Amino acid sequence: MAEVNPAEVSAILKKQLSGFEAEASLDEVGTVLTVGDGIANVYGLANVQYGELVQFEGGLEGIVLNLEEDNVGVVLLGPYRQVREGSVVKRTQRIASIKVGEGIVGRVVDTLGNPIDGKGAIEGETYEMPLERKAPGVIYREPVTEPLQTGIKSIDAMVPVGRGQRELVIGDRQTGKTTVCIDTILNQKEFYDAGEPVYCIYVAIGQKASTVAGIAKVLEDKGALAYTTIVAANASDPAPMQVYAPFAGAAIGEFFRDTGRPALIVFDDLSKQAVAYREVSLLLRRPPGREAYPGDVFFLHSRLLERAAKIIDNDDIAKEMNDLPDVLKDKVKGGGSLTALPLIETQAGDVSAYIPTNVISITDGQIFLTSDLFNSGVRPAINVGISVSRVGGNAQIKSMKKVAGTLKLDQAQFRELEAFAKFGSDLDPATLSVIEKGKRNVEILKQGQNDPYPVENQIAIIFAGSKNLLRDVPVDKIREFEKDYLEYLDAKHRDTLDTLKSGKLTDEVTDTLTSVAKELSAKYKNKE
Amino acid sequence: MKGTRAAQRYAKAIISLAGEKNVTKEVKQDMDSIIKTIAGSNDLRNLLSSPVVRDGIKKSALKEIFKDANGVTLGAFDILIENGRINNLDAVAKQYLKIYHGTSGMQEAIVTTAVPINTNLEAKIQNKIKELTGAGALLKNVIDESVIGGFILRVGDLQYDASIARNLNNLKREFKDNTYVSKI
Repeated sequence: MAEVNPAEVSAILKKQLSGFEAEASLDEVGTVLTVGDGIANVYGLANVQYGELVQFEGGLEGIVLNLEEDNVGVVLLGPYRQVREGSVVKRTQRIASIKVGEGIVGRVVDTLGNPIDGKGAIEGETYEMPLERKAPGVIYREPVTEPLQTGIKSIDAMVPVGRGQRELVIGDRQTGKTTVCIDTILNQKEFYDAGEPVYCIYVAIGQKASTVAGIAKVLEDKGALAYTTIVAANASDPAPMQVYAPFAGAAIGEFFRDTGRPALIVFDDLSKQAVAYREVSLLLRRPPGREAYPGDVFFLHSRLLERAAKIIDNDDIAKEMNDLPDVLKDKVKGGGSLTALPLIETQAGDVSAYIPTNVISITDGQIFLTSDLFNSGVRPAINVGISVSRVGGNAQIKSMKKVAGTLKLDQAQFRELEAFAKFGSDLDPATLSVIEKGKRNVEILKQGQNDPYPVENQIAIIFAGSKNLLRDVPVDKIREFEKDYLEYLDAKHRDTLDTLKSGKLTDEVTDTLTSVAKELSAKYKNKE
Repeated sequence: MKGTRAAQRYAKAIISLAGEKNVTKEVKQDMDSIIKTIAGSNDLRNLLSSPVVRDGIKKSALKEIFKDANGVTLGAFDILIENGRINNLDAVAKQYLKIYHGTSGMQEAIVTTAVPINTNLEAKIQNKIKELTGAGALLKNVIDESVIGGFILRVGDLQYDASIARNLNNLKREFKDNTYVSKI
């Protein structure tokens, strides 16, 4: 065991005791009638509000979810072994909320905002943000125009995501949904280093604690924890904790959004949250509907995802925003955004199940990941044919838009002709060229795990692909070529890449890219 | 508190009928004796809750036990037996008292202490109740050594907790919520 420094111990004890009050308390109370399955029925608490936190003996908290004539239904947010029939329940006069401040960045917290990473209390000033909050109204919003770079070539090129957008990531188990989102978080390091961080929130719902610990480790190792908060409601936590975890994440995101900064939130995943919500609802004896989900499961997701928004870039209007918590009122700034990447797990590719169709209809587009592609080695396994981004097009930077404009169409054509190629019949040169180009583009869009690409590199390589400059490079050498090509550009033509990054695609730039691609591809041709 | 909702309905009906006939006080005494009798007699409790015993026997037994009861109370027995709610008799009686005390401005207050309170303290507590609720209350002293010291005052839905046990529990919780221990 490590040596314990007595001075340190006293400091910690002092810190813990600093908030301790030994005064008498006057509370409104009720009595537990029944308790079980994570639900307590409480007699009394006549003035309690819907959604209010109540406290049981022993400090356990619960949220009031059913107000009935002579009793209230409370969902319990923790182990309820100490709660017995007849125990006293106190009102806290506090609507379920989470304490958020600058200090929450880099931490792992639970649904109620308590740190669970063992790094001590959240430091600095904190603000009480309600878990359930109305989404900003129309007047306080702006169209999505700014890109949120995911660092994944196929997404940034073909299904671009803008700041303030809600883009669904959907697919079977083991298709790389989490990886796509973690890579997106890693890619925000560029902006963090540039001093304009996109604050990331990763909400883990119903996952193994070891998985969450693994993700925290990856983020820490890659330097991404410096701008990321993890909200974890693990599989071992009670269902209500899992139901409210995304709301806690959204409350954290709103803190950054309403103080004029961009934020990104990943809900991993909402299918598990829906299952947890079904559990809670059934235990509260609410009538089941389709697939036994309660009637308001659509509202559960729509009110959550509606909180993702791009706030108008005008401080005066933003200050008037609806439903602002009082503590935040004098800190409000315009121009912030909250981008949401909800994840949904499908069963055997069935997107017509209840929850997937709901969330598809709520979001501004979806990224489909399929196991066929994943198993055939196309990773990230994004099926671009059925992936769309309904608003992201306006958010793409100009140079990317020009270069990648035809890529989606090219790939669609390629997939149509690919079937013919499998017959091995003689093909005319035009068809053959489409197929060869398509194969190379597929290769270009492959990408390693935890290896996001800066946007200028993406544009450069996609330019080479879509202009068919790689026809001389064998398909299995594309990855190698890509590496050489980007390294060469970075070393010799940094200014060209910088121009691309600023969104311009001048003739000079295209000439440079073309000549470099030709020069390097000639090298690969000779090798054969 | 099984059947509280039904009990409330019946209690409300009984008190309103008693009010019309100006016998609320008499019925209140009946209810007091019903609660006391049921609490004291296991046999009576079993009789009332047994589905095997026929209604006629329950009726005659009750009328025999509470033969001095007011007409309203006796009528209540009849209706409760007829509607198969006689097993809630105890709850109905308790609800009746609650409503009775509520309308007459006298509420019940429970003081939990580690040692019995004396009259001097009682007066002080009465003052506190007046300060909290604006009205006096019938004090009921419950002795529970687990409060250690101080007292817990409960008036209806309000609880004034000035016990040592609460302070110690708070202190314990303060140490238990250790943010320096990783939980993932």
